[in-house]
Amino acid sequence: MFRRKKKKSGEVAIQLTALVDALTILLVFFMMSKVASSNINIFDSSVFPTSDKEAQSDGANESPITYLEISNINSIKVIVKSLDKNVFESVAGLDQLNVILKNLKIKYPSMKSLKIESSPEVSYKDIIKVFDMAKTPESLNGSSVQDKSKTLFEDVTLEDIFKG
Amino acid sequence: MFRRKNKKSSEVDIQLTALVDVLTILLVFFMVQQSTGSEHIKVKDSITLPYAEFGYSTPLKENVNVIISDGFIKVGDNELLKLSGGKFNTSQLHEDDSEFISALHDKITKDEEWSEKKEFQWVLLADEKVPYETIKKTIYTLAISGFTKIKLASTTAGN
Repeated sequence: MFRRKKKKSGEVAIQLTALVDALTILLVFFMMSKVASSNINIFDSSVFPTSDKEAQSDGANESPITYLEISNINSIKVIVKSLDKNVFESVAGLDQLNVILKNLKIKYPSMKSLKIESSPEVSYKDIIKVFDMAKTPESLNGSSVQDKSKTLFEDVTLEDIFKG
Repeated sequence: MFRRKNKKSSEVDIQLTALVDVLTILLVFFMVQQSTGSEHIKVKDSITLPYAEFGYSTPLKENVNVIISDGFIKVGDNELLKLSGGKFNTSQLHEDDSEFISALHDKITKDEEWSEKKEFQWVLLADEKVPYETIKKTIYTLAISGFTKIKLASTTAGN
């Protein structure tokens, strides 16, 4: 009834056209899934306020800490405390904050902690903007080249979570 | 000097082997991107995540997504609470502690689906207009309930 074709053991027929079809479909699938999904950035939000000693690693306990009190996007109070004394105090808008934070980092290079308090009506968008500024990569030796492994502030804490 | 080969106009030679090579390389490239690229979380729920340039992506294969929109809070795919204008109703809050969302606490601690996920990372995906008050109360309640690995999510232009 059936006649089997004889094949030489060394000959293997690859259906190249079918293989190209399969590869093309898989390729299109991966390209589409890449487009369809959103790229999500994650910010660490330390929940429990760390003590100043823990926050300032490397044993630099006397390192200053920056506090931000966000009333609204036009009024953000920036305070730098060192050894419980205010060494810097200013009020700025969100658009000026990045420059202030960068300048403070130049002035106090050992500073690693940023503690944020915010009024209830400030939007999530503005909170994320502040986190984004705090996580800006540091410039290498004051140049425009950025060192992505180092951010302006290592520890960014939502300080008022447990304050009620 | 040069001799042109005569080809019939209807005959086109496709180098299938070379085509397969190229397709395979592209396929491997996209597969590697898919597995090692930045965090991909599909946001289906009509929320607009705020944009951030920096931040960082972490390999969060096991995480719990908390979606906060103008009208609801979802944990995973389950809508747990209704919100009004991105805020909690007074009835959802604890009588003695207005920062504590009793209704959320009850649902995530009594349901085994969530209560066993204290070691997971809980990622807050909130609409950009949601007030900080809601974010703060949610983080506070999650932390009091024992879920302390909390992350804030934003969207980015792509890495």
